[in-house]
Amino acid sequence: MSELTRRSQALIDEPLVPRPLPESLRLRSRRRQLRRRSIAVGLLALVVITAFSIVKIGDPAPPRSVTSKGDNSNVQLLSYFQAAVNVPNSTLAAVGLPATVAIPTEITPSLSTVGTNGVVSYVGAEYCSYCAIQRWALLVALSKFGTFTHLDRQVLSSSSDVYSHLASWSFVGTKYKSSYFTFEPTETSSSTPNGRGGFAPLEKLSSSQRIAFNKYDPQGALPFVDVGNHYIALGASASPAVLEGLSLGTIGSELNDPTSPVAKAIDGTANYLIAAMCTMEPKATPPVCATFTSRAAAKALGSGVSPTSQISSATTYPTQPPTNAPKSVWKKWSAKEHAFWLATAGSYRSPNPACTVIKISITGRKLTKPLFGIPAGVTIWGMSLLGKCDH
Amino acid sequence: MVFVESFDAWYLREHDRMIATLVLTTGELDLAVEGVDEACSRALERWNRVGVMDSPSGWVYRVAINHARRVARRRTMEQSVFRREVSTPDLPAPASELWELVAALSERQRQVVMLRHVAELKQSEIGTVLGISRGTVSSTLHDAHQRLGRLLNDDHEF
Repeated sequence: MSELTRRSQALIDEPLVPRPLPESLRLRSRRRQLRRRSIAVGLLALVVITAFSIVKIGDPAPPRSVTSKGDNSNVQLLSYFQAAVNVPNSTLAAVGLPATVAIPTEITPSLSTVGTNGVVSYVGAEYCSYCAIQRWALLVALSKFGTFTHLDRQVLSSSSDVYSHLASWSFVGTKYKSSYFTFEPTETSSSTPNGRGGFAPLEKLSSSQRIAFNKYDPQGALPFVDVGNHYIALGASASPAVLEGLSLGTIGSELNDPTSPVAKAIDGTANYLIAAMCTMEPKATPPVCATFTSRAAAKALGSGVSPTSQISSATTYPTQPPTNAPKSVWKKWSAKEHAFWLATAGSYRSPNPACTVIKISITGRKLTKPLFGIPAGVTIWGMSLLGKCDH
Repeated sequence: MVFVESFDAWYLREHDRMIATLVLTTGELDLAVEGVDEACSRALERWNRVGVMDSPSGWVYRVAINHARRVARRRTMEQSVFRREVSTPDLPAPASELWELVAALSERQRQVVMLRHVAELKQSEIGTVLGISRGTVSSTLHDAHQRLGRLLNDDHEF
């Protein structure tokens, strides 16, 4: 035995530390296993959290759902959206069928336009102030037949239009689900100027939409609403003047006040649109189609004449401002002229009982050069009638 | 028929020898106890596999030395990060006297010498424990003997 072995034997014979019991080794073993499991669970949690974070970071798209709680714009959107989709039938009944609202025109479907059968089609543009009010009416009406989601693209109409900076939203990216029909909205242009006097293009019309648009709206007036290839509405059905200076929230709340001009214009338009939509699936319709208002609107759709005897405040043609008046005064006059023609169309009755009106259209033309003292850039309005007489 | 010694019997016989080996390898009692306890608990956990090895003690020594080295490294790192000085208690006699003798050896020489003369492993087993060839074990042992001989003035003892 070496010297080292001999000397170290003393350490073995008289141990430096007491020998732990095997039980304490088992305990140590269990603690180690527990520690390993904790580390494994921790690492797994870390991997999951990291993966989740990567997925969230890699998806920078803003929250689009109407139920999402995000920035202030979403909160505001949520409130007005809820107000518009929840206008009760009693409010719609109280608003009734104001004479200031243009009645959608019944059309005779042709073979070329059968592509829009069973489809509610809308063609508009984000810059268009007339589209702003028509969107509201479509939202109220369509919500009676289905559910909207992804309505979160707020827009303001163009500042150079007759009614400037009207608060609305765009149908771009909107989803609509209904068991009765499909909704096909197209916003052709944005509200962003393209630097050449126009606006940046946005969406293209579908082929069937384009056929119907070209056939029923050859002048290309916006907005264009085609209800199942049976009824069309060219231009705004009510004057957008009621929206001037109002925020989205105010418009939303006024939709539920039947005495407000906003409700009369939008809910009144919605009543006609609802009646038109009810004709698309006559065998299976929602309860709103059975209301008195809807039935009255359906009757008006057939005759093209509003059943109301209300006398519009805009029954007299607005006096033209002086030739040298500023353009802002002329634009206000243009708005009054539009309201006058809408009121006239809404309350128009054929003087000959043997004649019935088939179609009334209000069309506008923006002057590119002065005409009869009216400066360029002002929109002038006119009404055209189509009827038939029994002899 | 293969005879497999029970863990308890092996543990009872080898524990104190392992402590002595590790103390004289590391120069620290705490480190030695930690290394041996960890290695023995791991051996107990998988004794079915360790018990049938050619040298269960070799496997346990390997685990104990590696664990002691890891603990020492972690402690050094903690000391540098937290700027904390940890005083290492002196070894009790007669371990302290032996440590004074072998402290002059390199770490590798110390490991080989202790595994050979305290743990009483064969040179091939030492090679397996330390992950080196038998020739390296032999030459390392030779160098260590010469140095210890000079220190002890008794070359022939080794």
